[in-house]
Amino acid sequence: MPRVLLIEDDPSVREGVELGLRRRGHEVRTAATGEAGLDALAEFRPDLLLLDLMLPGINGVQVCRRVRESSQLPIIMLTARGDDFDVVIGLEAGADDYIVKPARTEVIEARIRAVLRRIEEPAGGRAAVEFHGELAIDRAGLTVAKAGERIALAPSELKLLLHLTAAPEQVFSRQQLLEHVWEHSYHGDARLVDACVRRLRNKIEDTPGDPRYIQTLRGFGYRFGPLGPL
Amino acid sequence: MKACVTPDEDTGHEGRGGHAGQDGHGTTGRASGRRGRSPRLRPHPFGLRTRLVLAFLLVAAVGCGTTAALTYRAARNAILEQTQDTAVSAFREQIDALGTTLPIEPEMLRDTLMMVARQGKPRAWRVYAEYGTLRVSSTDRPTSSVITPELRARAADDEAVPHGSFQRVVKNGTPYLTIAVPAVFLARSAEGPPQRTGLVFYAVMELSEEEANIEAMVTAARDGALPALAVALIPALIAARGVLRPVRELRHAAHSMGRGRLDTRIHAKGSDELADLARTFNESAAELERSVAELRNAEARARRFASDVSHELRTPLAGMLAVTEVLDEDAGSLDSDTARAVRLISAETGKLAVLVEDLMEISRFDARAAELHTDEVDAADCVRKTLQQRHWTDPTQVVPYLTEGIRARLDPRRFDVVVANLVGNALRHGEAPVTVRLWAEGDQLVTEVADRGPGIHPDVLPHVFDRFYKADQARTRSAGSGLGLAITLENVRLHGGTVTAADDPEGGAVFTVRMPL
Amino acid sequence: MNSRAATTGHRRRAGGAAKPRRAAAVALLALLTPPALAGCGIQKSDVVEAGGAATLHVGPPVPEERLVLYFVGPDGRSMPVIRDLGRPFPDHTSPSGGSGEHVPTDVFGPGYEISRDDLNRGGIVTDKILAMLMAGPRANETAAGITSALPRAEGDTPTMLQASKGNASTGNPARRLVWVRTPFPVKKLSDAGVRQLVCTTAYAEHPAGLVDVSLSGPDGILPTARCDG
Repeated sequence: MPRVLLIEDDPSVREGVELGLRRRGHEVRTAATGEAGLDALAEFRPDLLLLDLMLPGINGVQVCRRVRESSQLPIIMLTARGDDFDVVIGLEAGADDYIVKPARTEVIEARIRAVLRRIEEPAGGRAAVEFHGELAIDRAGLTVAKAGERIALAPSELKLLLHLTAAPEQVFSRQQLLEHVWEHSYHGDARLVDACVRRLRNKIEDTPGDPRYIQTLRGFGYRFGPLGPL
Repeated sequence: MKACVTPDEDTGHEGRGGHAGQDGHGTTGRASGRRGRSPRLRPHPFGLRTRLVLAFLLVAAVGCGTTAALTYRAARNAILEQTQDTAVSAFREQIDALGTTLPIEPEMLRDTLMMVARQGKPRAWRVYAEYGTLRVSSTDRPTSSVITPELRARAADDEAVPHGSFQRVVKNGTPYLTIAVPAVFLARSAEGPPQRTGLVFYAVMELSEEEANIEAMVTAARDGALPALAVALIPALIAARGVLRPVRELRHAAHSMGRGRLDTRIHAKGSDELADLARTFNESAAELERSVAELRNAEARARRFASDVSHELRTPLAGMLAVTEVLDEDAGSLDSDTARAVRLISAETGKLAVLVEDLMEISRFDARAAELHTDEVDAADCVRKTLQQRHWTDPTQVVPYLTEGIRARLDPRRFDVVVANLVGNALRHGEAPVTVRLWAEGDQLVTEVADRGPGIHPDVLPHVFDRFYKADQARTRSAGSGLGLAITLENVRLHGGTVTAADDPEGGAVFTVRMPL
Repeated sequence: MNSRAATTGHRRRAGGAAKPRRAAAVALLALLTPPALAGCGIQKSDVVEAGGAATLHVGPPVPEERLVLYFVGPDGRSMPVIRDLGRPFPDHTSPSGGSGEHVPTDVFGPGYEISRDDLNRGGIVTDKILAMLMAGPRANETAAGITSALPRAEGDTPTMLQASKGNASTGNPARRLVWVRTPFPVKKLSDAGVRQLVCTTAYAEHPAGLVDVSLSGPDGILPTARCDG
């Protein structure tokens, strides 16, 4: 069962969520502040971070950035308002998903599972490592290298890239990507996709403003390639 | 010239849809506000400017006309009086000196008359004398047809003291002055009263020259009055402009206020009535602005309060909701009363969470904080996913008739809420099967949700989109939050669309959403 | 502006204030226009009195030497004629004796001459003057339409009976009352005839005619009358 670190300042939420998750078999460690959370991170070595955005002291977004500096730990934000600008900031900072409070434990657990789930391998023997332009994608090892240099990708970024490259030049709508990559409903928040695409482009594109690998089809969605001659 | 009030061809039937009793069915949750213009009075056929100028000209014309008429009359009378007086006295003077016998001798008298005729004053006259049956004149005709019987009777009147008299006569368009002077004599002594001789002298004088003078005066008056009127037009226009400019400013200001610009003020200068009006307008506008600001503040405070309350409720709810599962799972192992209590708490916590969520959503709409994240999607897909996600897949419950292949630019999450709320509402209050239709009409995406229930009572119809409106007052709480249709309406409005509720003539309620593609 | 416009304007509006105002304007114009229009040019007028009569110089030049007889003009009004003292009638008028028409004479022969002195005395000369009156107008006078309203003289002529000194009964001490007796009935006389007798008598008796005259005939007495009243 995954080990979950919950950083949440409100004791009732902290206790409630901890209780719910523990009942479902998760190993849960809690922290009341960002600083305490960051300390616990090294010692507890969780599989996933549940992070409240509104924290006293250093807030959730800052915690998120600190974590991403050194690790590709899956991060799910807990937020009070789904429409918040904070959500966008948090997603830009590297969070993989978010949950709007209040939420039932089953919803939280479903999100945790979705983020942790490995992308399903398409059937049929494919080469372990695919090459797309300068990108080398190892589907088995779940690593991505650009020009021979390994790129650290957050779980959502990796899954998005794997999903897109599984069917190069096929257009996926945001809704489709939400369903397949995030296991959200069709009507989920498309900002998740957009933020993730932005982050991914920053990492793999030569010029993120003029993307080569992940292209936007206005009104339809995203696709990988075609790469064309350099 | 522009009338200050323009005709408004359409006096409007806005808001009528809100009263279902009028046209059988239909209420609108229309996003568009009231039309900017209210029905107006029919305009006066003449504008204020025209009327002002006309009034000015009328006054000028009356003034000119009256002055001219009075002057003319005075001058004419003066001319005539002078002529008459001169003629009468000259005539009498000349006769006074005459000598005659009684009875008269016609030949001698005729010579005398010829002499008098030559000395007409101020103009030539013809002289006649009548004595008994004798008629003597200075002309070749013994008497004049111009002399009226009245004049003769007056001259011969022996009841009164004998006196001269005159009369103006117009004959064949020519005015004449006729003078009659009876002659008296001193019978036997210079003392006693003069006695009539029976001899009457008449003089007839043409007044054509006087008439020419008078006509010249009329012409002069007319030639003077018309340019005067033309000149009066200039101050009239200036005055009209002076009055109308503030009026026009006032109109613009009022119009601007009507469109919500409450900080509109008029530049009030001077101390006339119009400036007073402008100042009054400004004061009223300021007062209005203040009141509206107060109202808005109060409203904003109320909304913020609702928003804050719901927000504060979320944190405890978040903790509670996370543990409801624990309660549900363990309820079986508790004694029955405790188990019921625990399940009640669990269930109500869930409902409370939904209610708070809906309240938050409404608060965002009220605060205009709701954002539209549009994406171009396949509309049929969108509806299908909504139904699938809610597990409304039983064809005896929900029957979709979706036109495939419509690409629509909308916020999928909000559209999902709209469809889900309408279908959920239909399932809750109407009867299955609920049909969901989707088609494009012009540049509009039409979504229609119809049920087979009893329909909406006409009293309820205008209120179906109200918040927490209870169709049945006896029912204290519905299964939903009571905000579903209100949120639906807000979401549709956010898309710039309309949602209407109506009764299907064949039974059941029909909700129709129209949104731009 | 006309009345039709005013009424349609009223029909169109709900408020009734426009009509009276407009009607007032129409009325104002209606009041002002006619005098302005009808006042043009020269109008005929009624007969207007203007000053006194003209006084003629009537010959003979000395008033005191005149005989004044009152006859009647064609219109029934008095027409005085003046005769010279003692001038024989045929001398002056056009000689028409040969025409065979009997021209009545006012000269009754010897004893009827009137001298200048007689005139100033009054009395008997009045009878003579009345006789001249009764004789009727002369030819040149009738030519001017002068007639007499008195009956033709049949021998007897009116005679002055008595001239009283002014007394209280007449109410005017300055005036004398002169009685004239006529041989013909006086009550049937026309007003013009009475005036002929009264005025001729008055001027015969007094240079300014300031006497009261009472006529009496066989049928009675007429009220006292004056010539200058």
